[in-house]
Amino acid sequence: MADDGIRILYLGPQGGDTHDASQTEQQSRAARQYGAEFVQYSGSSEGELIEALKDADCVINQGHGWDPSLFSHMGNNGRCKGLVSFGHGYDGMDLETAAVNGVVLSNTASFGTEEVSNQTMMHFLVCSRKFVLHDKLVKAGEWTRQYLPPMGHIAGQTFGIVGIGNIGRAVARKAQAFGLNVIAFDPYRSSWDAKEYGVEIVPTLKELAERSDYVSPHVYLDEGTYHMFSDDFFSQMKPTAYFINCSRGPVVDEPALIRALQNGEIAGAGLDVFEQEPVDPDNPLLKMDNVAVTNHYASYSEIAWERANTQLGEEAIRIADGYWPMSLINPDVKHHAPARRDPISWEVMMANR
Amino acid sequence: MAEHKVLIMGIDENDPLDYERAEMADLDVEFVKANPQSEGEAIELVRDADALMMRSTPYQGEQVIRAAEKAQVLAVYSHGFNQIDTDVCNEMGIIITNGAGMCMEEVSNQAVTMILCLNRQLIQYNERTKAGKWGRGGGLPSIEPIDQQVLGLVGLGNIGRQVARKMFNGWRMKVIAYDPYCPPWIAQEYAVEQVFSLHELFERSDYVSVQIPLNKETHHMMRKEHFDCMKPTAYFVNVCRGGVVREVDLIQALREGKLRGAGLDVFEQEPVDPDNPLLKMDNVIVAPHSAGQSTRSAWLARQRASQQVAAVLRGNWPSAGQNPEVASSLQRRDRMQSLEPKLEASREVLPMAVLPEGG
Repeated sequence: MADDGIRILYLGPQGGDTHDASQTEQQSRAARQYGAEFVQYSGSSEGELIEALKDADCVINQGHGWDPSLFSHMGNNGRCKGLVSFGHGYDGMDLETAAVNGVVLSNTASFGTEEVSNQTMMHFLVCSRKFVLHDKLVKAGEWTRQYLPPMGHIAGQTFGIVGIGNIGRAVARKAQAFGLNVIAFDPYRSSWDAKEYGVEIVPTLKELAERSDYVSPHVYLDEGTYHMFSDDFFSQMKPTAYFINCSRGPVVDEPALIRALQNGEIAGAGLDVFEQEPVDPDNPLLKMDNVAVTNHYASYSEIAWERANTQLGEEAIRIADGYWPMSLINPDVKHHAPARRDPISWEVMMANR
Repeated sequence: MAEHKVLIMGIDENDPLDYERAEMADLDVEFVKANPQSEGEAIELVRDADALMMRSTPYQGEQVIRAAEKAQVLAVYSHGFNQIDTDVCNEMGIIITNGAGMCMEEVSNQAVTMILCLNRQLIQYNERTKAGKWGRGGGLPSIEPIDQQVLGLVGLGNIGRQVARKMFNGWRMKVIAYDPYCPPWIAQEYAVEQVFSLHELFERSDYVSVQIPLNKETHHMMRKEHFDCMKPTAYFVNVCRGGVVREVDLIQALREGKLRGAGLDVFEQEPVDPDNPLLKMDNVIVAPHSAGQSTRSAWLARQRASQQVAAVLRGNWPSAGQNPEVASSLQRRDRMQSLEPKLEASREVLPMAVLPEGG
């Protein structure tokens, strides 16, 4: 190759032939501003992809399949130094293989923090106010207050957050505005951080289950969090308490949640995610009047989407130009890759260019 | 012989080491308390230490660190670790940890105190009133409504965020910040507008407050060109390290009326020279680098430092590691569990968006 400029390779959904022009404009914005080349991958075989990687400095992956063996052509073994994934979750990404090959991985951290925390608060209010049932009753012509008790006061009740990351903190802040006491289980969060957020850290999930009137996980999905909420957890919850989930379906053992709801071990649930998506129309959770459901759109808004799209491009340029990304998801790579510059704001990168 | 030797420099020889022992109770540790009187003595002491805990000792220069061939970790008790040569530690494979979190409340409160005292002219009125002079104004500047003013933060780390939170939530100030390393989503969480040039920050702020570490990049980061673009009614507050400011430039700017006054907890030379002109100025209020002090920070610093050392001796990355680049030169990289940094990053990672078709 004669060119020595930066080149970003964009991988869209496999088989998806239509690229939305406005999305492409957002995703390629950073490359254009930085004077880098933005190339849309059009191949369809692994061999073609390996060839394409030889002419790219960083990959953006949005819903394209990704075989971990591709990492062996990147990082310490090739021109392409990293990969940026669209979204928060990286459930399908093999972090370790990337790390040992010196491949830097990033995501679009926090793009939907406002949206997910708002969805969580909506589900919490819908549960607490028994909205689903009463909406149904009123529309069916039944005007009654007989199903209201027990109903919490909210102010003074306890909201339990599992995972006090960006979204957990936003939920905490909003819950505090309702006068809720916020407690959290997060074994990786320091006590001084928790104090800064005005949150009490509890040492065990059991204590969180026992004390909370509302429980909301904000964790990522991996082997450590898979089925983190199962029979044990639900049986420790108060019978008047609600379970909200706007993170990932499989962190919950769904049959156990269904049992707990059917047996009255908990009062209800608000769910944006399911173990199987799209959710099975026969899933019993869809038939319950004390369960509110949405179709995994917690992080959506046009602004969030644009933020994710532009952040993708900025992170790719950081990786391509020798910076660490702002949202490094495989920090172990620091053991295997050469030193890089600390990540800095996009505006400052542009000014220093 | 114990498995690990932990050397604590700059500590009373009768100190019972309660915090250190408590945090390392599960480890086989021999504690050595030392107050070396020369660099040579310090060099001998560090040779066979697995961990160095540096309280207050002048002997922590390059030669001492190079002699610490076995050391895995060097823990300082303070936030600042500017006295430690990071490059040498990276080369030696020594993880530097600091006292992150040990005095966030205290330092941020000192910044708020300075801001309020400058706004209210409190120190000046206090002196006048005690001297029997009753009266308002009398040459002192007018008092501006703080809820309509702009606070400019240089550095939006742990301490800067606390200052932002207090002044925004408590006083309803508009808060802007210059911190090119701060992710935009953190600034948003704290309702802070990020600006991307230091000049813009100095131009727009009614109070500039600095909360950054002192290192090669930040030494004399604030100098004439910045003070020159301040509003003549604005104040400068420094509660971090004296060396981040070119002090002669600040003195000159104050003399020329480029800014209205300053609140300083720190100085380029400490203890401050009694003849330092800053001490003679009516519009400058000062404290003896006491921002971090409280009855809590005194023991919290020891607990934090001990926790960091304990983590490393157990084979984990410490939560307050300050030189991640050290990883590339660690001989024992296979043994190290990168537990905390991994989770640190994964905390950013939550529900997946609705992907477009095929996502």
